[in-house]
Amino acid sequence: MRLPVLMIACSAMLWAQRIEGDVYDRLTGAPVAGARVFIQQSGTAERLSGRSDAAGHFSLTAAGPAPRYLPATILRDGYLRSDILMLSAQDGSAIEVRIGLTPQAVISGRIEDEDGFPAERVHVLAMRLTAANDRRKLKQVQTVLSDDLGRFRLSELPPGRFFLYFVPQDMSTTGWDGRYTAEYYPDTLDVNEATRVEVRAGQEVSDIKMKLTRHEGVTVSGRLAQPGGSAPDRFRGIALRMNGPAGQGTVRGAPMNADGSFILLHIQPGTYTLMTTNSYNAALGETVASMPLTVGSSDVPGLELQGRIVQAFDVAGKIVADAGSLPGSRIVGLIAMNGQRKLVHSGLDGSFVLKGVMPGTYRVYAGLTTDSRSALLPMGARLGERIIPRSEPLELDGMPSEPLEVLVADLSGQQPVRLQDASGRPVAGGTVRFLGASYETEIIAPTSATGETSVSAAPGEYKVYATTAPISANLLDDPDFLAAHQKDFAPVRIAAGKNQTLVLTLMER
Amino acid sequence: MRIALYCFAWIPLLLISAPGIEAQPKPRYATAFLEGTVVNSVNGEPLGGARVKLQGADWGNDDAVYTKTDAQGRFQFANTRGLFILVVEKPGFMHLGSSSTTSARPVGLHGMQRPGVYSGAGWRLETKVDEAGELHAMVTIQLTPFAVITGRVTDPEGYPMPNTNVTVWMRAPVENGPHPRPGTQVLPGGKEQLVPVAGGNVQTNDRGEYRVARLSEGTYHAAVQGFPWGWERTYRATYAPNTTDLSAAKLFQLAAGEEVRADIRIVQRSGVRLSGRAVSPPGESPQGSFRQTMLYVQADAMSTGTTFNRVDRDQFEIPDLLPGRYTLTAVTRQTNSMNDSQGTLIYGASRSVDVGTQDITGLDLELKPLEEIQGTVAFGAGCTPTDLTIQLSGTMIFAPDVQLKGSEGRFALPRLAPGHVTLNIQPRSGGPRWFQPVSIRLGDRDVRQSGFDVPLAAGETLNITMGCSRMGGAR
Repeated sequence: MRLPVLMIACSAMLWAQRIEGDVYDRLTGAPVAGARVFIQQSGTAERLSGRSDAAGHFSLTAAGPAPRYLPATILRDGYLRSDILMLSAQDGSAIEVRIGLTPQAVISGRIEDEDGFPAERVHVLAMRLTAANDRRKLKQVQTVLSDDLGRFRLSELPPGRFFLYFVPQDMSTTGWDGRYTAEYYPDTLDVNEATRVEVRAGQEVSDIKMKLTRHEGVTVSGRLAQPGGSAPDRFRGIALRMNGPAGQGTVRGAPMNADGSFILLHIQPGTYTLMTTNSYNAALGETVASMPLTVGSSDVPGLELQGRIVQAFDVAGKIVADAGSLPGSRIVGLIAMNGQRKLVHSGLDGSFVLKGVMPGTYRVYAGLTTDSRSALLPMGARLGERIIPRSEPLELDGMPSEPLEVLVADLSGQQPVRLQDASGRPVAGGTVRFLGASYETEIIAPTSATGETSVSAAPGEYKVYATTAPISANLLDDPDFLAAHQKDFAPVRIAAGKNQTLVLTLMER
Repeated sequence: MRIALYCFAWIPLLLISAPGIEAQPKPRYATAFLEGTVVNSVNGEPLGGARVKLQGADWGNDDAVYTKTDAQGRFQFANTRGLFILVVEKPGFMHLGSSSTTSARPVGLHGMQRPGVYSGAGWRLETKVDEAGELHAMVTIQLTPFAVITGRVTDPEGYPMPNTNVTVWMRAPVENGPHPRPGTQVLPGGKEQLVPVAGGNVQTNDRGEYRVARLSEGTYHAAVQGFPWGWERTYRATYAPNTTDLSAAKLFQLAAGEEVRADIRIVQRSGVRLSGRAVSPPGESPQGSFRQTMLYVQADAMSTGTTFNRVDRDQFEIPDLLPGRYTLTAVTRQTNSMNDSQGTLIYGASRSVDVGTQDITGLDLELKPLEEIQGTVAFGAGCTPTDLTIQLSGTMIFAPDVQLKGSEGRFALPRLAPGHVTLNIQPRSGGPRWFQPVSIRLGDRDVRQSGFDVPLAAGETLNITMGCSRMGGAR
């Protein structure tokens, strides 16, 4: 492992049209033949592509003047995809780049049910713990569906330790047996009892045998009380939404009887939201009801859900950029948990009105329009005194009494970096990472053939780390790594505007 | 066998109504038994080790009971009073008409209130009352070994293609063929069609491998239809083993239980450039506030994919078209806001073009106002008018399903882009499932199977007649 030492220097601006590269295996150092390299030239439909030869070498020539940044993607079966950003050379000389590819890790196996039948169409998730905002959460890294033989193959995994989570596709009314439910490997409903599967770069763990077991769970039943005593319509359903470490999702649904009664069987212990599902009728509005529900080891009978009729409403708001800067016109809006979007162009002062918003749970979105000048990072939202961080959903049950403020960080801090070895030679193919002071964000920047890179970031305090070693794609996903290497992170402050080049020197350890 | 493939997969394998369920007649029996045998439909041999589920029809699988067949393929349930759904499953087998899901489930049967013999695709049921007044129902279920297509997709240089979309199509005659499914494409000549197979659209894994199971006996094509982001623009949608030409594509004849390998090597080829204008009606603009015009390009002889281009002002340019005959369709869509994802098609135009080895310039399409399609719906004798859903499918469909109130007798389809359209009509969700269109007439023609071209001639209307005969029934 090599560690960074910080020095201040000036950056160089060079231009060129030819790219000479070598692709090698990061584990063995051996050349990688057949790697496909392509460069999508920004702002155009033009694309350069080529393939490495038996010696791992490739050569690309741009048809016209190259833009300053050349983002390249390198693909080769058996290896993790690699994305690098090259700085083009100003003097017409060739760019020379060495690209290390990390061999992929693979976890594969077979799933059976209690009858020994292959379990088909089971979603298999590889998940790992993340440490965003100092809170440990499970994050999905890869997912795949089992085939008719019950086989699954999770490929393109970074090295690490993974929880395996098996979610039968048809857990509601159409599956073979409603008692089959989502489970962790090797056979538990509780993530705290799950066993993590460790896999190294280039390794395939192929002997995972998962046996799904039936879990009786408990019965949840009750009745939806309609406003005014009217009967529920025939298309209404009842759904349970789960709030748990594996994220949110509907775990079971059932039709509602004509008298509003419902029964949900085989519910496992946990914390849920019980809610109605329906499609909105613009003329009639929609009857909605929801309640939090904690399920233990006993049946939960006699629930009373009180329905109410809601209509769509408008949400007025404004994009608020930090440091008081004007956001300019942006695409802004709300994205519902089912993926439906309500997006509009904001005015130049950042104001907007979202029409026809239904009560529900949303994420706040703020994106660029084609004429945007600077990047903005949505940080969350504010309704009156209430601040909703970006990582948390926004619940709207009616027209807000206060304007919705969409908080964005101005990524005006430009931080050039040059990575070099102890002799001062540029290090190509390295990775520079800026971590937020409390690990709330991570910015990853690969170095070019000249060892250079640059990041756009919100002004503030960061920790910087650089390496050429194959480590996970996202440090925040790997709390073990963070704990082991915190002492290696160097503090750095990124100011608004263009900062002086940060020179990082890698030291052999 | 083919016909069964297109049965709707939502209907469970067998709905068994023990006496007492129907209002008329209403006999009473002390006990009811259900006995059954599961056999291989190909050789008639009994299938031991199949699992059988009997569940109440009202509550999904909540109150289901389970058993397995013995070595003679037999199973038995006692006290089966009420309305039940019977589902049978064995690895490597499917029920005729099963979809890609694990359970076999396709034939519905109602009204078995009298002792007698009932049958449907893949099952036969006999009910009788013994001297003690007990009802016995004996059912024979046929399971069919399903066929499988597997293969590996490689690029022109032989490297595996990961994350690549592979589609398996069934090739079937239009005449006496299945009821049209969304995505079905009638081939030039109008006699054959490519039917998308349920569960037949899969992605290759990191080694370029794919597997499509649960195929019934029939004739299939395998094709790469879509590429992951970043691959060469000159990679072409390719039929197995290595062609963009459907007439040169390999046909895979699959027998029940057969597994065949269909490797696909991607074709890479540069094409020519085609450019022209999509001209709006006088005084109108092809683009503006919430208005956009798109040009869709579909190869007549290559049914695996449509490319589209945004028309900039009234100009369009399509790079890299291979030689062949294409249909160009331009449509102008008007939306009310960014929240309006659907919008309304207001103008459209379509024309064919033969592309050779030279660039083509100056190709004009004259956009014209599109009209709604008016229609009527009638119900056959003894059929109570019920609410219906009309699904539109075809080459250029950008319209949602149309909900139709059966009692009103009239409907209007939204404005459709010029092209070929087929209709799939079924009762609305929750309605009685045994309603089927008997005819869809356009003037003198019945277009239920063949579909029709839009725009219609002035004054033409669609006239739908629905029937309500139940599948199965006493003989």
